[in-house]
Amino acid sequence: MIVLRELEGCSYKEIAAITSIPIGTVMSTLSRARRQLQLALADPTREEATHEL
Amino acid sequence: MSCDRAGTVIHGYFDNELDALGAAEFERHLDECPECARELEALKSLRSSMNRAQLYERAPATLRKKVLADLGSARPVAIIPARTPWRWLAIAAAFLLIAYTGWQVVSVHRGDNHEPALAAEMVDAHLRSLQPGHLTDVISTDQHTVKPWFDGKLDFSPPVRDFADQGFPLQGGRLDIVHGRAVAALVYGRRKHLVSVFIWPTSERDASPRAGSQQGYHWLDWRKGGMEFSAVSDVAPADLEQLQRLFAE
Repeated sequence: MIVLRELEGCSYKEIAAITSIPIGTVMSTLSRARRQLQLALADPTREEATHEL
Repeated sequence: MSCDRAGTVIHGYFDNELDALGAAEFERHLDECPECARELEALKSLRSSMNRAQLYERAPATLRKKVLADLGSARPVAIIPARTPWRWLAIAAAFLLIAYTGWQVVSVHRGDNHEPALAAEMVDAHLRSLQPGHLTDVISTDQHTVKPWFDGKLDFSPPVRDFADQGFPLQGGRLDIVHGRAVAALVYGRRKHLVSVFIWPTSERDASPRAGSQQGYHWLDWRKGGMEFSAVSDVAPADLEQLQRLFAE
């Protein structure tokens, strides 16, 4: 999700098409992924739940 | 995190995915929600740190080549067999369509049951010819004037005969278009009525007359000697049959 949005610069619509999830779910999934990334960056010892990145 | 917008809508705003109304509304909210303002700053800093880290890495050209090469060799094996039944079905459907269309066209041209569309077209042509000045292109009761007139105007030579003695005086001739092709139209008088006889070449064998009516007009259609004849008029059907017999003699 992060890769599609931040690295590939996809819109939510494109992300929804690529990942086959409803467009309404993109924002909440992206929100969760960013939170985990923020937490991981803030505390590098945390390695859990990085699959959403 | 107590503000629920900090968890969701803020991402839509941050990614420019909100519509103008939603964005304006969220900006008003930002002014009075320090939590969302902080979160927005955190998102900006996350993005800039990712940009700084230059995480984007292009796959090496050799990998791209390898993947494309693998795709190239896999395609004939993996894709075509799966599609073959559909392809045959499509070809069969195409042939059916062509055959059906061809049959339709042929049956119209052949006039085996004198398609109503063709009859209507000839009735229309006859009606058109009754408009002032449209009846004849060449006005003559002399078949030796009318017949040469068609030379060079048609790719065939219509049989032009005068039946004045039998009560069908030749009035003249004209060119007409019936079913997309140029045909000869001969005009005969019958008492106070007029009869249009359309003539065009056909590859069908001779056929005895078939009659019909359309819009109060009668038509009689027959084939003789490689020509198709279609007589249209408001005279009685018996008169058309008499004219047909004269042509057949």
